[in-house]
Amino acid sequence: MLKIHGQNLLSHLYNAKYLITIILIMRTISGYNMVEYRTHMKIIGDILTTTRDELADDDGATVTFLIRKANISHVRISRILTNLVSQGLLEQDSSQGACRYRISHSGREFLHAYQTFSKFAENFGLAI
Amino acid sequence: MEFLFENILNLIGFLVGLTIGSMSYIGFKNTGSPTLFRLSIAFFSICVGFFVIWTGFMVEDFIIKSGHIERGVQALGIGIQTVGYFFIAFSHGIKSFFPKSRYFRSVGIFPLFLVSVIHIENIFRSISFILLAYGAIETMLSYLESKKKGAIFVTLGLSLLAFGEFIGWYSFVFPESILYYLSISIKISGLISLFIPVSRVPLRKIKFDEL
Repeated sequence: MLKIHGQNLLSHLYNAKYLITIILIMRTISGYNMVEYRTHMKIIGDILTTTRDELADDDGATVTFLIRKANISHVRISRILTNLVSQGLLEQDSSQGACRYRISHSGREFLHAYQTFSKFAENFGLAI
Repeated sequence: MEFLFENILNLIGFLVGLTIGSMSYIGFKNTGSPTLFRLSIAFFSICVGFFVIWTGFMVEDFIIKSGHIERGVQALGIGIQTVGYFFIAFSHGIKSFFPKSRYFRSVGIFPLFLVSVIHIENIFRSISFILLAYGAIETMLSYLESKKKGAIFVTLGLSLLAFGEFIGWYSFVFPESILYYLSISIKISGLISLFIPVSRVPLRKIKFDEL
């Protein structure tokens, strides 16, 4: 039998079990208590997609409609909407009594980049 | 022959790392995603690591002419690549593996000062193997959930790189054997496999309809 450092090849391969054990421990620890959460980026993507694809007219989406579609709390969506409006990704319209939100030109560009790079990251098994 | 094989491997590694790193960085600049930022660090590190080893071979061949690459340069290049593999694994949530205590973290780097350059190179190779195998397993699990075809190529790429590192270990024990060339060929296949799904991502600028 072929010998390497005084041990035969089979016993070296047998030692590979330690490496596999390390990998399994890493997998177990990192996967422990793992729950699938949506990332902040994914929530923003959902809101922008809703304002782009799911509106019947050009009046914009109400906060209630967005809460239902994006499935997040009022407090959280209010913060995100304020942020998106300040960054120019959404346009706010308060003329009809209730606030309505429409996607802007930069919002469309951001959404396109988000979708492209989401696919890119998914190739690596990751979410952006 | 060894010089030619090493040049091909390191140039392909450099180009693949540079391309994927640049795409990740463009993605980060456009979306601000921390995942893409980690990926860009990972692939730029891999790119720099391959470049350092390639430079080492070129300097050896044209200037020093000693017949073998400086071990320190090789260890440095492999170490930089290992940082890249760490960030790929880190993106999958490996951070929970490392100790939170500052004491344990500081003790953890001591062995690096107590061993020779060749030992450091072997340590880097073994860490690379573990990180690559971990990344391959996580990507495969993601494929099982998402069924994205690109993830198969990345899984295959990372697995081949890990296997190449594993075979590379044994080529230390059997110098001048076919294991060395086998290891390099497997790693080249792994890098090409990593590049396939990325090459399909359209990066052209798209004009939108006016609102």
